[in-house]
Amino acid sequence: MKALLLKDCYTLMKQIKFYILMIILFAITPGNSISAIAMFYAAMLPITALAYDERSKWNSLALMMPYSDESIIGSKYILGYIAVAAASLLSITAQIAHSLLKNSTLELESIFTVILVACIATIVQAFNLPFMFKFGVEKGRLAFFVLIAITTAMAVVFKNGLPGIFSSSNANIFIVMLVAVIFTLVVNLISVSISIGIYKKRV
Amino acid sequence: MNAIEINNLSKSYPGFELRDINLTLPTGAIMGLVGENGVGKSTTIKLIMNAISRDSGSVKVLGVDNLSGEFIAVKEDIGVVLDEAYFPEVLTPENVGKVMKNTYRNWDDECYYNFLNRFRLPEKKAFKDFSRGMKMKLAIAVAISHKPKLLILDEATSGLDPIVRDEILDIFNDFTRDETHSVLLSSHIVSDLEKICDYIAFIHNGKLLFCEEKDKLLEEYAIIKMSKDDFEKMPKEAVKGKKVSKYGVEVLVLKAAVSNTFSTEYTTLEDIILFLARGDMKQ
Repeated sequence: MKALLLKDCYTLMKQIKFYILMIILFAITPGNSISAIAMFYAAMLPITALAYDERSKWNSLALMMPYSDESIIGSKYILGYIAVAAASLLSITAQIAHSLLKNSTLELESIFTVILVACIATIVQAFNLPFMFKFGVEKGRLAFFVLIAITTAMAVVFKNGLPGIFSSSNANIFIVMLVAVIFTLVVNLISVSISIGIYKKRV
Repeated sequence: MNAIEINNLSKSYPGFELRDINLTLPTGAIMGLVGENGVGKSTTIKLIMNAISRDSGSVKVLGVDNLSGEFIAVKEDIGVVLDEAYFPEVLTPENVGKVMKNTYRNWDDECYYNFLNRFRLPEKKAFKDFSRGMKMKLAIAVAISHKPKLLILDEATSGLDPIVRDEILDIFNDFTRDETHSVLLSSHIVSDLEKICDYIAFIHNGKLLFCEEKDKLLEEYAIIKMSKDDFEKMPKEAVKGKKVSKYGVEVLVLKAAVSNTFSTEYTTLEDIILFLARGDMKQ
């Protein structure tokens, strides 16, 4: 799996330097909504890597090499997790630095918001990747846009509920975070097993 | 132990069928898989590597069933070169080396860089800027640098100029000097196969027409040129293919089935395959 991640890193670093720079800039910009964009961009990196694989027909070669189906699929998920985690850490570090520079108190709520957004970004990735493995990146992107539309509609419906989650007691916040992390893990585990199932049923 | 054993292997797509392929590549031998474009050579190779699902049949590679969990470990001992190199286009040979070092347990960096030098491949040039010959040489360097026991080459020499082809065929020949090494080489360039192969497997219309030792094939078949009247006297069971023109008939025959009264000509592998593939030809 290390080889596959290394291959994706070489490809992405050379092809989309500007895109990666944007992720870093957004992540360190104060304000949760900007850093959220960085995390969603980061969660899309595996799709970009898949698109480059398709262009070079890498998969035809990968199937001849000693990579298991699990490592071929798993490497794409892990690439997304690493990218989202890096964007989240950058964002949290930037927020700490910002509060130290301004000599203000760091609000726990904003850290939790970063973690929650990171969870949502990986959930979006989890919904996305099985479509990409099933239909390929071109057709899979269509599924992604449908997903974005559904997510946006849900955000509009629940927009008054979200801020309320963090306005309650700390105990309430911890429960919400715990539920969010467990839900993210479950969704991702289901997504990985669906993707592996799709990949194993090759023509 | 045989390097590859295929039994009753079948696979079909709409408009394409590969039926009941039975093929054995003994260890230490080079086998040429020959046939027209689109006849199923690449499909056979994909089935050998379990890269696609099969309809029926079984495949053993280096003694292991390719559907078993052990086959991933066996892939460590197989070097594959496909009809294109398929490395991500921005990678340089140096990057490819680092990726492969983390892919194969037996990766030999020294061997890899020796091949890069031998092939005069620039280490830091992006793969997309390589010529086809350079791309194939890189694929071959990768396939050989992890000390494989079996090389599987799918049209690896197609589209290359004769000098590069010859250089590459020499490498495959050197590879089989070790008697534990075997090669399966698919190509429609029959002259390449005739140069280096011990065995020839011929796929035609989705069926394996024969899988024989090359020398035995050349001994078994002969070409006879004769008039149409003489052709009528020829035992029909001896005729395996014929080319009819207004000047006479050229016939591919089984030597053992014709009498010495017919004077036979030496035949090449290309002739045998051409006659068998096209059956009755009229000019």
